[in-house]
Amino acid sequence: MDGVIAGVVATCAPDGTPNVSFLSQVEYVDSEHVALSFQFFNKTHENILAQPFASVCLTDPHTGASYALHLEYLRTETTGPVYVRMKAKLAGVASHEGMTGIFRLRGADIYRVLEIDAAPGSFLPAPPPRRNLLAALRAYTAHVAECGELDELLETTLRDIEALLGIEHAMILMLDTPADKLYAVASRGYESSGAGAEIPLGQGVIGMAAAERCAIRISFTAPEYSYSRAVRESAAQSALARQLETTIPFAGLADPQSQIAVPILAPRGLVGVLYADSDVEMRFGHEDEDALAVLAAALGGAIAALSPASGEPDGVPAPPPRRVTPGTRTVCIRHFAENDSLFVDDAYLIKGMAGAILWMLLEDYVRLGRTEFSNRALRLDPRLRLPDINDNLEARLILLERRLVDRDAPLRLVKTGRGRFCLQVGASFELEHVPRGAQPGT
Amino acid sequence: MPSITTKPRLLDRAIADFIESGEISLYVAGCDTQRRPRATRAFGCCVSPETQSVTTWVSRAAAPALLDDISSNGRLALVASHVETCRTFQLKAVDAEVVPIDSADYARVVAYHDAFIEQTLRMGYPESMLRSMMQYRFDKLAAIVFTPSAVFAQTPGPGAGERLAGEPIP
Repeated sequence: MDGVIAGVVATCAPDGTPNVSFLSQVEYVDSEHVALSFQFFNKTHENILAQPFASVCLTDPHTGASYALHLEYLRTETTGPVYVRMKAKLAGVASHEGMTGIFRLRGADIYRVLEIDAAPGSFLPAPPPRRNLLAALRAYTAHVAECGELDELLETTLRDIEALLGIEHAMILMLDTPADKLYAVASRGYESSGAGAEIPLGQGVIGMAAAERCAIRISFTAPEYSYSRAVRESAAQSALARQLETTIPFAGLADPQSQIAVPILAPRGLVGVLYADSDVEMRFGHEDEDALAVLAAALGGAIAALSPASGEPDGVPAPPPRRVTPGTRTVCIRHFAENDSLFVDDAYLIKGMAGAILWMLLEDYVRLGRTEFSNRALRLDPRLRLPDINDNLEARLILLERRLVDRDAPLRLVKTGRGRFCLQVGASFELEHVPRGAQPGT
Repeated sequence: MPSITTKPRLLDRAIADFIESGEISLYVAGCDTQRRPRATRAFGCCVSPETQSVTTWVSRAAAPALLDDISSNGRLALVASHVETCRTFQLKAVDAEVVPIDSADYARVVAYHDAFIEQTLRMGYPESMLRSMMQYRFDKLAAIVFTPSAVFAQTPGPGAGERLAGEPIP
């Protein structure tokens, strides 16, 4: 059903007149159901509302074999995962066919599959699978079991996605629950890390995969699902935010020919999204989607198991404190309470909860000379107001670590043990706090 | 002198040329008495300039039930879509008959098949897959002859579904 060879759907009018028309899309729903794209109020739709039988002819784009699916119409869905998946996929098909603006999904027509006929003939053999995906997933789950920390887990996941699945460009985004957005925390294969780039829920393939908790796969370039626009729009959140350049560019390919986003789910709900793209059309097939979904499920379980809220004790004895040697230069760090954004000598660094965390660490460093910190203490600190559950503190610290490296800031967060880290500084700091409502630079 | 046909003439030259070309993907559909539809790929079309009757060819082995349906009730729909531009027409008929193939059909089926492969190869499809998809055995084909009773524009877009009056073939 991922074929680039268009199929047809045949229906019958109440007076017995057959109708046959080409199809943009047939979506596999489950082993007994498919969905056809409903784009226009046409004869096909009129016919199936009057009597429910339809027949679809499909061609396997690898073997040339053709199949007839005999179907019974059940309902039309205009929301939900199947609709959202088809809408995204159709955008790619429309762009590929030069039909952008013409192909618009009104609904996903859900059918029960009554029977499948394979046309007789001597067809090409099916191509062998590109990889043994089951063996790849087995290896991945074994690697996951060895990861004791979130940053290690994320690195292992992205490394295995490339090494075991052959997917060169991928990233992991975590859900920021109160803000209804996702932020990139780890990536592999891109020019920049993109750590901290934000995607609002519901925007593009990543935002839709998160909002609907379903995998979304696009086989061709789809401009309306590209992230250049999404990222721009996410910047405008308040009057002050508009004045500040606080957008971290999305790392994904600028003009991806294929995209896939898979939700990372844990027992408590959505954790984030695993995203991959490619500059090759039709790079991700059903099997890739299945493999990434299983991988994301293992990842989600592992993230939940590493979460302190799951009962894991936080903190082991820390190694001796590191000697801190501030450099000779003085750096001004400005904090805007409006959105907890931090600027290092006027260059944007980070905002949101990660910004609030770093500001607190810097305050403690400058006022108290403190460089050793524990995740547990951060969780209890009233200045941060972390949510009681799903605080994503570890993910935010990873994001912060990467941003400091990406921006070449004169300070680093360095792990000193499980649930512990220290601040390494390479400059003296002047801290400037800009309260809510104040203008930047005042 | 009586007309050679009393049936309405709906195919203008442009549509006739279009459905006879090798650059289109063709499917034929019919329905049984329970109004259950079936469809199959067709291997070319030929329009008679005198009678406006259309002949198309399908595999007997791929579509035995469809051929039974068409033989029993004469109702047929044929869709023709340009593989590159998506320009599409649908023809309907109520007088379709399944008839044996004859030697004159052979050249037409071969011409359609070869032109279709040539066109789709230009679009980048792999030849082995195309030949697998378009395989047929001439001795296993059936011819279907019908006179269109209605023609519809079906190119995706605002005009899709419009019934075309058509002009008689000169």
